[in-house]
Amino acid sequence: MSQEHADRLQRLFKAALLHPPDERATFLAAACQGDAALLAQLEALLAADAEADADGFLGQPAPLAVAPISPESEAGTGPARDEWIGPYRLVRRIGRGGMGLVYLAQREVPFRQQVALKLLRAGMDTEEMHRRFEMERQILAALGHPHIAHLLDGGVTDDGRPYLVMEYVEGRSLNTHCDDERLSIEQRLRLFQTVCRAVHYAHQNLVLHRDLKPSNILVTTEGVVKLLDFGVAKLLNPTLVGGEQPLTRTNVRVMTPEYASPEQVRGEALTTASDVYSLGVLLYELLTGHRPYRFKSGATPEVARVVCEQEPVRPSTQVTTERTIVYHDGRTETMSAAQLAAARSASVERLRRRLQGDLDNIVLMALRKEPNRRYASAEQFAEDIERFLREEPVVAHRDSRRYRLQKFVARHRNAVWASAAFVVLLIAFGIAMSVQSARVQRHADNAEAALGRSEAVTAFLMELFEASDPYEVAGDTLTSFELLARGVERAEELSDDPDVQAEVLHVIGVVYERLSQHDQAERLLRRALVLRREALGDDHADVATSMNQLAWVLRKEGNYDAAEPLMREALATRRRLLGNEHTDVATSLNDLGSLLKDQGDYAAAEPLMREALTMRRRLLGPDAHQVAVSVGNLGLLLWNKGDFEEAEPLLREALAMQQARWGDDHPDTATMMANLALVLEDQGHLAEAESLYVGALALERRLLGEEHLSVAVGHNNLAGLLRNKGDYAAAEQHQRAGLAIWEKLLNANHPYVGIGKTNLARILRATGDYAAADALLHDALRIFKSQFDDDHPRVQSVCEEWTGLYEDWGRTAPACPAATAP
Amino acid sequence: MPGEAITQLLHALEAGQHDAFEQLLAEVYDELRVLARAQLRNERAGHTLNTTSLVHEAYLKLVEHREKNWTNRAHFFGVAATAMRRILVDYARSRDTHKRRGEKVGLTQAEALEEVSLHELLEIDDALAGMQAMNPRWVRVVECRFFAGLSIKETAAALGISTSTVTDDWRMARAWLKVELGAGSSNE
Repeated sequence: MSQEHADRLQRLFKAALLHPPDERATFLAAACQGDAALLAQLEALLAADAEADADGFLGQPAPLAVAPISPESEAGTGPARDEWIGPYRLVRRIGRGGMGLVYLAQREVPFRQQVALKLLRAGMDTEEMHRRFEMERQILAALGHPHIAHLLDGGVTDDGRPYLVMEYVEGRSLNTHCDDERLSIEQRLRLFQTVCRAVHYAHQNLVLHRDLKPSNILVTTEGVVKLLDFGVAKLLNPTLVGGEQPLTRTNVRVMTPEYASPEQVRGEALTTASDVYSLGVLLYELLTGHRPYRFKSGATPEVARVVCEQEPVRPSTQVTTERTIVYHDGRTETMSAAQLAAARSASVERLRRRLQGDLDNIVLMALRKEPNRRYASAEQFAEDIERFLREEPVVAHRDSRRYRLQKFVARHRNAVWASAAFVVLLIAFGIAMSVQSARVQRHADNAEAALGRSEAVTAFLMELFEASDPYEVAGDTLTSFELLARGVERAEELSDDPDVQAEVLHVIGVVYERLSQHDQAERLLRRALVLRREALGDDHADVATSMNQLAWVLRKEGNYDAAEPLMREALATRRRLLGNEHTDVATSLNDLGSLLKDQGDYAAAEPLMREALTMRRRLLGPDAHQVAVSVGNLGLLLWNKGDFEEAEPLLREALAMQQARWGDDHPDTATMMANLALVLEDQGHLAEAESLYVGALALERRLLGEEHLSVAVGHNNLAGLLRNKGDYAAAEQHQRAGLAIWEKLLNANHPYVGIGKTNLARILRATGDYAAADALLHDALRIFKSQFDDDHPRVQSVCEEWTGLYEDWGRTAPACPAATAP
Repeated sequence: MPGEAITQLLHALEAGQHDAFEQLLAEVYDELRVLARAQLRNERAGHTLNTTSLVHEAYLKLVEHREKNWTNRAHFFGVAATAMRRILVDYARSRDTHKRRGEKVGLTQAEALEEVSLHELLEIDDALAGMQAMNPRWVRVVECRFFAGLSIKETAAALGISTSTVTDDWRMARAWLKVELGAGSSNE
């Protein structure tokens, strides 16, 4: 064929296409001037052109066009020859959705019209369903918008299958269109705005889409956006007509989980905010080429968990990763980050920078879990994008750090408490926040600077936790120590800002203390104290805070001599600077009282603890956590004093308050259970005491791990009760377990080690193992004498035990304590 | 070949040196084939190549970063489209030969589909050879649109013609190919 002939052919072909189909024959006859071969050739070409449009010939680049089609979509056949539904003749099947089959159909009378006909799978059996279907259909039919495919007709077939007739839209899905045309971010945003406005129009007409996804948004060859299936999800699912349904196996497919909002997944009532959410998923995918979530199994519980709990990766972060698409038959296809960016006419780095900030915030605002925190309407969504395009400040902003921390804590409240990382974060969060609010109160004149600093500290901690994926840390104790070590390392780099550095060291020191890492805690708190003294002088509330915290750790280490003066100084400074009515003063009173109690000075401790409790009740209200702590501490002191009658109600009150605050699954609840058990045991209520001990111990082991001071206390206390009951074997087992933990976590001269040894000696004495008991008492006495005077109750109790042991043994007891000089 | 040399060839092409096209084609062909093989190796049976992404990948790999501008990119894509056609056709032929040697394998549905379309691919290639005599520009448009997956706009830039010409040529070429392929099967 010659080039001239080809040119002529193309000229006539193009001209013919400009004529309406029914006028083409006339045009061609005239144009070909009796050249039958030319006419035949052109007719064949025009027919082929129409066919190619219909069957998508070369519509996909090679060999994507040959990508295997999943067997499911091949199942079933097209319509039988001349199959009719109502006045519509089915031409061929063009799609298959979760709800049924879609046909290209043709109406012949009163005028010829191509339509899309959706034939439902489910039957509608009752009159009521038919009536509702009709009602909904009429609402949808009233929607008239240039970007919404019009619902033309509908009905029920002879065999009871409902069908809908819609404007037939030929085009590619929004995503395909954007990728094929390599549309830039700006071009994509413009198209997306059109989608938003169409959705908003429907919302104003009280119609929700309920199933927004790329395949329901087509772009025609003329570049016009058309939304399909508006409200059809409800219309076509009779069970939805009456109300919403929770996520079940069957309706997952109906609603396309990737685009479903948390409330939709949960089966709650849908609002316009649910469509806004789906729009957010859509925009996420348009901008990044990724979906916000990846489902491993796609199983219902997983979908629900991920959609309702997981925070999506920021779009700007997501675009640096490749995307792997897994098809139904298990095949996978991977698109590199560069390929995805190239489809957006950008490099990865340019795309990342474009998305970072405003666009991240805009997308994530639409994807918020709580409907009322998303854009209030699809129109506002579009408007914020408009502001972005005009480079004006956008409404969307990133969740505050405080909010994200709160969410993190809330998400993990029910997670395994043994995760030290969780405890770490919770504490760090609590401290950072209390520091922040205390600062503002304390230095009204200096509030801004203080706020800046607390924000810097919070930011520091956040970065620390964000650096390791917060979703991965749960249950991994090691990770939290690694985190803290990394935090200390980073803190070293803050030396040009000693204020912030001291704060960070302080916070990490407190976290170490909670994790029973006393050496580390002491080291960091000492450094924080030195830094603060240098920067602020002695007479400063922050210095007092540092002193008190350091003293608290020293107390835990058993170093009472060093702890007491620090605590007294901290209390004095606080009283002077903060007055007599301040929560920090109450804290000092409580802590000093506990220290004096530990040293056996109950008479001095009691008034301090009572003052702390009264002050806290007054300042914080009756239900505050710190009030519960004070009530429990006072109860414990009274128990130490032997005042069981007054101790019991206090300890019961403290337990009830902890349970109300944290529920039954919390370490503080376990502590209170164990403390109440002590007084019950001494009052002779052995059964109740034992069940409390056992319950508390099990809880602590589960929540805190095996090696924790509180677990050791639990073993020790339960052992005592078992010994009194005469169950020596079990008692010995628990006592040895508790002692082993103390010896491992505490220094060799810690009073708890002495207590453990004394208690074990008591059990061994009862079983007749006198020599071993004797050796243990030697150790215990040496430990106590290194810290206490000879008349201290602990020293006295060892001596009494010794006397008893030698009586049983039938030997003469050595003089106590002089006989055991080291 | 270093990226700099590729860039020089792209400049030469822009300046109208036609032998630069053949040289570039050889380079791009080799690179695309390496990339394609790597992609195929990593995939299971039944997988097909994503040509569009391959072309983009080759561009990012071959062309010096600082030289990446719109004109270069367009020219590169024009060359890559032809290279992609050759690669796909070579691939289809080798698979076709393989099949004719008589090895019997149970084909999954996915593989069966692929074989069918590979055959179609060869038919298209034959038809394009015939189209070359009619209007070489149609062939180039098909290469860009179908073999390299370029958009209308990209195709226009790659071939240095207007988008409306691309649209017209594409529609014409597509109809002509459909007639040719349909005729082929009815004559058998």
